[in-house]
Amino acid sequence: MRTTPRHGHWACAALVAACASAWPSAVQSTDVLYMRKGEEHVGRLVSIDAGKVVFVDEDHGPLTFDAKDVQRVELGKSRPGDHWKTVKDIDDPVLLQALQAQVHAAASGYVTLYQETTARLAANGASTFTTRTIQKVLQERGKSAANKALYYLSLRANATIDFGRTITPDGKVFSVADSAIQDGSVYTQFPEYQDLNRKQCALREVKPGSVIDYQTTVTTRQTDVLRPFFVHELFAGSEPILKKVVRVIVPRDQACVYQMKRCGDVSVETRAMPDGTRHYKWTVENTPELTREDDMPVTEDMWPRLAFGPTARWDDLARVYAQKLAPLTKPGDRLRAQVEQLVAGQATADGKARAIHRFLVRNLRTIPVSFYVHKLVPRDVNAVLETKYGNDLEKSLLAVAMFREAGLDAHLALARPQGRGELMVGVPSLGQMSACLVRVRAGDRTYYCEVVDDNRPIDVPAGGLQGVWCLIIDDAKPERVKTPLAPAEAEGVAHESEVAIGDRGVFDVRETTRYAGQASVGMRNLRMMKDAERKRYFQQMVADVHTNAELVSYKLSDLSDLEAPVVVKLHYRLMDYAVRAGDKLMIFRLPGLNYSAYGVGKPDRMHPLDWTTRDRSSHRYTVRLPKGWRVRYVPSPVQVAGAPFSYTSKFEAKGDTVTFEDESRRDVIAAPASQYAAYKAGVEAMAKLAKEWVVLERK
Amino acid sequence: MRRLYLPLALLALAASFAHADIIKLRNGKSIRAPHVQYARGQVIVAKGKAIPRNAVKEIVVEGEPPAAPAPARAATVPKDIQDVLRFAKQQQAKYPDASGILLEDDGTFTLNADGTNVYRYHFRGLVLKDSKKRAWGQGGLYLDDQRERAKLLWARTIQPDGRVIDVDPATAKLAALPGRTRFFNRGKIFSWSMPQVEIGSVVEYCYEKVEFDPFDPMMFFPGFYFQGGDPVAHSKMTVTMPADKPLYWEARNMPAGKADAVVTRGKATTSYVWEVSNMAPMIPEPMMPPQSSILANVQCSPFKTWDYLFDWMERFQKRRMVVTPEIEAAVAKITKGAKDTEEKIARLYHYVERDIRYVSIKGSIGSGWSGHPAAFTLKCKYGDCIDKAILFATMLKIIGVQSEPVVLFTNDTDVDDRKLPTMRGNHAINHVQLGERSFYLDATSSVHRYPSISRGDHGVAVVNALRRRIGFIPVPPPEANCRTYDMDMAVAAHGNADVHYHSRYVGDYEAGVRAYYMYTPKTNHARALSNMLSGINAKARLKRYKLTNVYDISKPFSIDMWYGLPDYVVKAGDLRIFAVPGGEMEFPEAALPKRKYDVVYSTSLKTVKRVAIQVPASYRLKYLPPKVTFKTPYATYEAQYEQQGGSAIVFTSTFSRKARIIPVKDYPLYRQFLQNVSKSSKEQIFFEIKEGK
Repeated sequence: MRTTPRHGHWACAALVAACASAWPSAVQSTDVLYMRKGEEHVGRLVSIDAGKVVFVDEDHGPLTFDAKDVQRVELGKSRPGDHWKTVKDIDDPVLLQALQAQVHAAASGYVTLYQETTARLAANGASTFTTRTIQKVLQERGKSAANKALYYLSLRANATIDFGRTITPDGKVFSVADSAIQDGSVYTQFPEYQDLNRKQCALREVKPGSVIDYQTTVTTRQTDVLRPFFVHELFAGSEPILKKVVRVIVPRDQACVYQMKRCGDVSVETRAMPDGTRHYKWTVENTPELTREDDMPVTEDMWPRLAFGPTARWDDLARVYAQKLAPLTKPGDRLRAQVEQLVAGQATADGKARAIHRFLVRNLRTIPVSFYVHKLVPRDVNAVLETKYGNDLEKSLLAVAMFREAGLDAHLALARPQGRGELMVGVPSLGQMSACLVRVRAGDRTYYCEVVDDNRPIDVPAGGLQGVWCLIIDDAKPERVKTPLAPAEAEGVAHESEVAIGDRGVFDVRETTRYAGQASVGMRNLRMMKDAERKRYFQQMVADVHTNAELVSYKLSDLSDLEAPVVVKLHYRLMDYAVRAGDKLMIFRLPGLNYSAYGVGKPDRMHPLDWTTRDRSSHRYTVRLPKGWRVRYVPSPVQVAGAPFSYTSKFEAKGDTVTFEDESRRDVIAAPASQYAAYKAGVEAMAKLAKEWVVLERK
Repeated sequence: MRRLYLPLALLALAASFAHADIIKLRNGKSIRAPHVQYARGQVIVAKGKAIPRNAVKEIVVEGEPPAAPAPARAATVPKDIQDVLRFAKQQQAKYPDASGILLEDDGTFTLNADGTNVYRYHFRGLVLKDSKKRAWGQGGLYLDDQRERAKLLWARTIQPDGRVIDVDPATAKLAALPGRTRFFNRGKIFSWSMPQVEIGSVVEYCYEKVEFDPFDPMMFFPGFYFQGGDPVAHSKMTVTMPADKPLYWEARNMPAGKADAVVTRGKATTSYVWEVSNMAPMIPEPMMPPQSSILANVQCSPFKTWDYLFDWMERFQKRRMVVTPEIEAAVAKITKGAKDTEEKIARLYHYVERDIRYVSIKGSIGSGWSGHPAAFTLKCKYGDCIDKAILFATMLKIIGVQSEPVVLFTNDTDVDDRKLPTMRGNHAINHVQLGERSFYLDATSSVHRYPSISRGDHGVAVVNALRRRIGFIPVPPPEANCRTYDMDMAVAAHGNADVHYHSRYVGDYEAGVRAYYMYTPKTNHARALSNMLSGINAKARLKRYKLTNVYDISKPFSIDMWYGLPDYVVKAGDLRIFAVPGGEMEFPEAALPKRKYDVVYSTSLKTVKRVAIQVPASYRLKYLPPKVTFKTPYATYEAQYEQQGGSAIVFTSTFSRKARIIPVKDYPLYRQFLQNVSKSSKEQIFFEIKEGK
């Protein structure tokens, strides 16, 4: 049933039909007409003329509007293949071949039938990255494949959706509608840092059995050392890939280098072409879906991986970059005065370093937009100091300038965090680096510090930046070094509890917890809370021990003092904590000893184990028994060795006191899957211990 | 001579301000032209100058004139810096632990006679902690730049020593939003940066947002919050209406005596002012009501009744609920062979849930409030809540069932009894009338089994424009949100145990559990179940499992697991101790000794457990926990251990909570109830080894 057009007149239908047929390449593109009064129509714009807008609504047919009633018309873009209506119309051999593929992965959400990325570097330095992905949806959860997103730096690049279509199981073809495409800045709230754009789209008619065919191109107007042409590809995904092809096309005289990891016997095909270019091509077939496991490495360190870029040396990159930054780090009067004020009274180099670091993290607001998604050339350090805000690179560079002004040896260090996978050392490119640190030597200490987190002391680098490659940016002595991995003692939590069991079975607990490393950084956030909020936080914390817990008091060390250790003292009572069996027996667990075996449920494992930092944690309990009761049973000691970590625990009952001590320690941040059995047994032993009972009986 | 240029200059200025059509190109550039034409696939900007349509992204008809520059700062900026600092210091003394204090929070809404309207906002905040430095260091607001424009009038940072750092209003930028995976809209963010913000700084700005092209000049709904997570020293809302237009309002949680507006009637306009001082910050509590329902706020409307809004919505909704041959064909196919109308409804419900993928595309108020036509949604096979509600209602119409889309606030976002007619809401679902039965269905999800709906819809008021009434979705009885666990456990003499676990569900909880397994790869199901068991018992070993109807949402979902518990029994000398696996219950909502706000759940709940335990003959029962019954007006709990024969124990328990909201006045009673339940759930069974065994 069709409704009568509101402003339409059927007389124009013939005209509309005639006009529409005049543009066969644009047949399926969809326009959206928005009325001033809020209504909208999806269809096809026919004409705007003499104060009238003629539009063919998909559901209501031809409509004519007074132009004054129309607010705007969004024009759909015509894309290659938009005229295909059924699978019979498809004349693209790549898609036709992909549609023939046999799929044997019914349990997967979707399967990538074919993916091809072509990266092209032009002689003038411009580059294009074109990626075509053909996927078949197999399960409900695989529909997510139809929501696509593409990230690009909008100030130097353009991104286009070349085409997007769905081929349904019954052979119909649906092209992407422009109304389901959106392009905008990821960081809209930071006007000076809005470069990173996200272009997203949703494809139509997607259900299990549908095939999605989608291609995007990102064109970068200029590449160079500071805006590098860098190809980084993974040959696997969370779901299976039947075939993936990566092509790189560069000018023939452009020296290039590539590195592959975990690619097995995959080799590159290279060809010099008559058009003056050289083509490289890699093809990987039949990579399975990823089976997720707890504590597994990042996918970049597990999947076949390729890096490609123009030939360069790390030292040269560091030098060129240092030269570029040099004019931006010249201290002005204000900076000099600021440093002078900060280091006044600081007798040691370490004191100076800490004073400057404290100023940078506490007095300069961090804009949470990394240089990696902004630019490698930051604002001048004096401007950053003037505005009192900056992103990671701007604040780091200012730190370098201020440390140097104080007479300290300091350098910017660009790093590749653990979370992005290991550095492909064989392909020197600043495009691999996505974090920045400052290396500062203060007396006999060398810090690799961050200046972005107002809760992070100078000597506690983020876990993800420990033990990673970084490039020291220096004109005179550039170098590539690994950041240190903090010892286990520098991380973790130490608990001490004094527990007194009252005659009525009330547990009076006085607990002191010392937080180190990453844990201390997290706890420092409590300083942002109001007193009442903090109190509720700790009330909830003790309620996690037991629903009947009541917080008596809490005390915190000075969380604002980045030099002071983070210590939390809690005093709480647990009513009805012990479980009784009649009048004679009473059992209890150590309050707050809370190990869990969650995460080691699987009997075996495919992937290596991976952690961010080392770790050491400990507990000490002294439990005073109520009068008239004695210990009938305490759990046996636990000793775990041979796992990637060690653990020891010991209960002791002496007179009216039960004591407990334990310590877990992990000195590695990775372990092979072969150690999983030992690891699992160790974690289970700890979790079992935490559920064990101390049994008291009446004397 | 110079005077001669003046008229020309004025003319040029006038020309640049005149309305014109705007052509937005795909390369990001825009062209303004007086009378744009479009024909034969080309946009004609001027005679002989045409642009191919593929290069054009959008034609804005009679676009907004270019914005005038912001007025000079000196004209409007308060100059009393020392007063500001003195006041800030006083407030800091009053709230020494605050992370920031809103010193001034002043919003003025003005409706003009032609329906255009202006919102001017003045903010002044004292920064006292780093978190607020980050939050207040950036200013910004959302707007629909097709109908609205924003202007930063002035902004400055005042340092504790009295230095003032001005912001150049021209540095404020308008940027398109990137969307969020399944959400598409045309909104923009207007933002600016505040310089030199440090602890002790006062951040201050004033902006103006003008709706220059309202979609309906009658629609004007000012709303203002006078309270938040920070102390507020002074907060004021002013609404100015044309003298001939009324204003109705609802003041919620306002301090005593502050709910009524101070009304000033002038010749051309009437002003309404609400003003408060010294508003304490809201301190969050676990499971508290949505903040919007507990903070002081005023919502306004030009309407006394819903009639105008009902008319407006009805017009939009009816236009979209048009039956087409394609929809009829789809309905016929889906309902073919269904035994009765109820089964047809269920099939259509599951179809819209599963086959219409959730994608939200909002291009204007039309799609924003009323979605897209049913045929369009069916054709694209995607849509959001209102799109699905429109399509579902249209499909139900074909099978002779009356249904209407209804608009609501989910119970986690707001509580609104809908007495005040406004265009507010965050969700849309369907009201269904089947004979005498009147109920609600929500096809937005992809996992709910008919007739269950998302818990967020429970216990809320709905706006039903087609029926011209405000309805209410009741909280379902606990039985409609029930989890049932059956376990058979055999304990061996050496302390190992074997368990068969079976769980089944009804209602929203079933949808949640099913969704987890539906969206987790099959290859990870075993890991998820193993981890769940390991979390309960360290050495649990999953032997096998069966998930029933993970992908068929029309059928009940259930889980069966067969697992072993090595060393399950605690051996303490000759004592043997164990409990029902996974029986311990904790209640974070009972963490606080006192509360200020109600305890709020999303819906009701019933949990039924039955565990049959077979113990070895060598175990002599020493202690069996007693039967317990705990009752409150809101919830009940019963648990019982029963020895059956010499070696069998059966544990049964039922937790049933019918109330969604526990009033704060009854919190002590309810907390005690939860503590009793928790303690009871931790009970252990004690045995002694018989001599000689």
